Amino acid sequence: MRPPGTAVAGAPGDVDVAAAVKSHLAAGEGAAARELYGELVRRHQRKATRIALYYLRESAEADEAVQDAFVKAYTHLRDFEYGRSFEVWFTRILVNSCLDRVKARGRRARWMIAADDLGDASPLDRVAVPRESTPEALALRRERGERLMDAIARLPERQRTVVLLSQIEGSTTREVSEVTGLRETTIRVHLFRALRRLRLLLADDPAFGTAPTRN
Amino acid sequence: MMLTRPMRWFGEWGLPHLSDESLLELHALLRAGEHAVAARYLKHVKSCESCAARFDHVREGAAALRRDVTASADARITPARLERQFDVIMRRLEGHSGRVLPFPTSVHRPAPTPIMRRWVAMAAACGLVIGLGAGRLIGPVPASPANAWRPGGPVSVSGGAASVQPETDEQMLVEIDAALTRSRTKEFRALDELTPRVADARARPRR
Ligand SMILES: [Zn+2]
Repeated sequence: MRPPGTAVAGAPGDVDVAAAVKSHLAAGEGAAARELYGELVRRHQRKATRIALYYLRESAEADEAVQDAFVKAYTHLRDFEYGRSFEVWFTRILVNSCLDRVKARGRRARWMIAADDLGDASPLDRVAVPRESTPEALALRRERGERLMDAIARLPERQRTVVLLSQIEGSTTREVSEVTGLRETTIRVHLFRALRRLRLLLADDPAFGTAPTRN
Repeated sequence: MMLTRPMRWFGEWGLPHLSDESLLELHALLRAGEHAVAARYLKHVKSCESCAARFDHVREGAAALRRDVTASADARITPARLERQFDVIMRRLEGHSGRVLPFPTSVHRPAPTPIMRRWVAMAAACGLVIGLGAGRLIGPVPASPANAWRPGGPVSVSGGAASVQPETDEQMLVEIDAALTRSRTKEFRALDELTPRVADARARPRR
């Protein structure tokens, strides 16, 4: 079995697989539908998990958001129109699943406080990264990646979604528009604002080498 | 299609080079597949050695950052993690229950913090009993051992106001937030003002 999160070259496209899953479901062939759908899951799982990690950082919630999105996509597959991009349709479901969880966190953070934790990072945001010893350069790159993820996590919701999908994951503005329901011109505004804010957030971070020299 | 700030792209008269910010925006546009919008700005880069060199620098820097952030996320996504996730998804599809199955424990789950203060309970202790929605009442919430968010201390309110506990903490917080945004009830305002924001609390230096 090939590793999950990968696709076989020359395999039928997502849309055809999704259409086949739909017809199996319509014919009441649940097992066959699930087996085929598993193929779609494997193709998109890695990217989906990456997106969830950008929103929810390292947490069981990130996995749960991915699970929820795949299950929801399966149970709503009848709404998926042939000829559209499965990935874009699925990403919309996934992003909503992540944002619901981000909002729930916000509510909890607003109303709850860990009395023994003042001044520390929120326990909900605490990241459990195994600090294995790696070569220095690799560690530095990992550090930069982490810092950028942190900065992206601090962007307002729409800016964050736009910058993640278009700049990190390589979606086109049109695809981002389908995912978010925002107009393309609006997306551009969010994108430029996000870039400006990211530059500000990272300006004093020596890991990015852009710190202005101060006297 | 108009850009948001077309003048910024070429700077003012006599300053024909693109600013760093514009180069970054140009790169972002190309990355987002907006070649048509980028074309007229790219024209300058193609005809200007200085901006072309700066643009290369921006492009390389952005690509390195993208690699770093993607690698940083991918490093957490082990084959074992994907397999577990896949299994859970398939089990859920078989059950068709739509229920979130607990994720296997080898993935980090933040431990419940021992001392979580339930500010709503505190407010109740201050004598606030608040009507929610259609006559739903929320008052002192009894501590439950199954509850990850424990009240900060014993709460007793005399007067025996009826109290209906929402199904979950999450549900309760949703209702409170919703009520706060639509309600003009002064108790709510009072409760809201009385509730320290985590951010505010964090801003205070630790002694
Ligand atoms: Zn120039």
